Amino acid sequence: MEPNALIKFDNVSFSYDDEDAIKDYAVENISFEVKKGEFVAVLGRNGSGKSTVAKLSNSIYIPSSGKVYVDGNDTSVTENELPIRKKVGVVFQNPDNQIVASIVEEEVAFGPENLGVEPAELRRRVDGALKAVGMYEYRRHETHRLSGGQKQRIAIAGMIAMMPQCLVLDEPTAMLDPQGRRDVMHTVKKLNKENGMSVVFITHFMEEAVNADKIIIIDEGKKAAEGTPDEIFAQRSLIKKCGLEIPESAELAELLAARGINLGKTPLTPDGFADAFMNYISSIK
Amino acid sequence: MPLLEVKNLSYSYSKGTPFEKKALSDISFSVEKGEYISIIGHTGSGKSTLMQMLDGLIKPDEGSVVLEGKDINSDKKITREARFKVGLCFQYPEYQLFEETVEKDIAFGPKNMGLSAAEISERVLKAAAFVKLDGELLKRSPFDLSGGQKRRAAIAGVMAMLPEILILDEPAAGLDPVGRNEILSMISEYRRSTGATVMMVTHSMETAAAVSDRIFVLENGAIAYTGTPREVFGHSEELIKMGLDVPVSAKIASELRSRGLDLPLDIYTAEGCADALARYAAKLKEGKRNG
Repeated sequence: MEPNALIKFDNVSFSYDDEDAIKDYAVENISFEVKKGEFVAVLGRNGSGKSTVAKLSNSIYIPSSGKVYVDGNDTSVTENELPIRKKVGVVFQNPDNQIVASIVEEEVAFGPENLGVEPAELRRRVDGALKAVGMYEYRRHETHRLSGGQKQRIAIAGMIAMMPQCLVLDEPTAMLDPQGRRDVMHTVKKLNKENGMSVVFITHFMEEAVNADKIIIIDEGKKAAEGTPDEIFAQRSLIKKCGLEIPESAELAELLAARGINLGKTPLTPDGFADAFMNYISSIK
Repeated sequence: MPLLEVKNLSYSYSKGTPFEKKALSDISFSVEKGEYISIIGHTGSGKSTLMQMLDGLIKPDEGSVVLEGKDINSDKKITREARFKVGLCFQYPEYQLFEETVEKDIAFGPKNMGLSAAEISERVLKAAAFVKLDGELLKRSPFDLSGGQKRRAAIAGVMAMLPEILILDEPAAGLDPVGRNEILSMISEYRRSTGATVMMVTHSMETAAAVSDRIFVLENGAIAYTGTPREVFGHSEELIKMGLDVPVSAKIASELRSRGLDLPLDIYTAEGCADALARYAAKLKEGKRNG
């Protein structure tokens, strides 16, 4: 294993049905690595096995065959379970299903308190986590009165307070409105850039994947592709075959190309598109 | 006479308590038969309150909801009729599936309407066909279906009442791109073949731009903008300021305008944007050539 790999999937298969002779695998022979500080986006259609990957990453599920290592520790070894859960925190899709306390700061304290963190340290961690997600002013608010985006940021704060080295987010924005999605995205990107936290971001919004260091596409339980956003979104037929789409900005560049205007490297974001188009018109003589 | 006329609707939650919150204030609009309307706005802008009011689930503090000329809150019988004429499909409707089989679940609405057994089964088949759930699947437990199939079964349950106005709250939320497009085309198919009106809450501006005749933008319980997609997304700069999304094409056009390019304000589709940019480049070339 590379020394800086935080999570390593080594030929992992997982079946929900352990009894059957002929196994119906939810994920099959998947291998990949998440490096320290890396932002990895995982894309795939509904039912492709993305969520299973999330649950395999911190020993919620144990592989039927193959191994998952977190910081070198095998997830299938029972004694490793607690240290692994401290290192890799998972945030799920529905914020209402993962909030247990009625007051925001109590919710955030729930995880680290269970880890036996001392009161003074606990206070520091909770305040720090709430500031990191921009929810410190809400620390004494009731959790059930928050919007979906705010709840999701609280769920993320609860993970941060446990100081994991990696956050795994399973479609954290699926139930949010555009503002909520932007807030969660911004929070996660900040944690990645400023705190060097590794991020595995599972989504089927293509625009949430365009800034990732690496994209992995899962389809029918198998790894269909792995590469940088530029490499991945250049493979149009593969994207389509996996039930995904290319980002709108890339689509627009294609429409322009059909009109005789070639912007060069395909832009993946609106800003990237604007840059490329400004470049193009400044080259007109 | 418009199919639906909403006049000066106002509503507050938790009235008379310290938590009183104005959800809707003085909303008026009318909707014609067969129209496709998208409703956009922030969480908390009043979308859900408005939808429930159109179905008679919440009574307005002030104002009226007039369906085919009758105030739906004027007496209980009319309210009940309105609930069948206006089909309301909540967000994540698959959480509301409950029957033993898909067939029975879809039949629940028509059964409540007091229809004959023959008519009920005819409606179930019709609704199942709209959402492309075939024969064998209808006998299964709804809980054995995939996520996308469950969503479709739940929507079929509303379609089976053959509502004249089909209201949906984010019908494609949580679905992948293919599932999203499937649901949208099923809704269009329902509208096309029944002539019904569709009112859909969506957070996807691309969807709103692509499917709607008109768009309502809700902000703080009031209608901030209304009009065709061209008219509404002509206000892209203002919508962005309100913190709402606009179609990517509109965002790009807005960004290029801010960098000094003279582009028309009504860009909101990829095709339209590509045309406008191609025209801009051609004009620039022409200008350079002429000196």
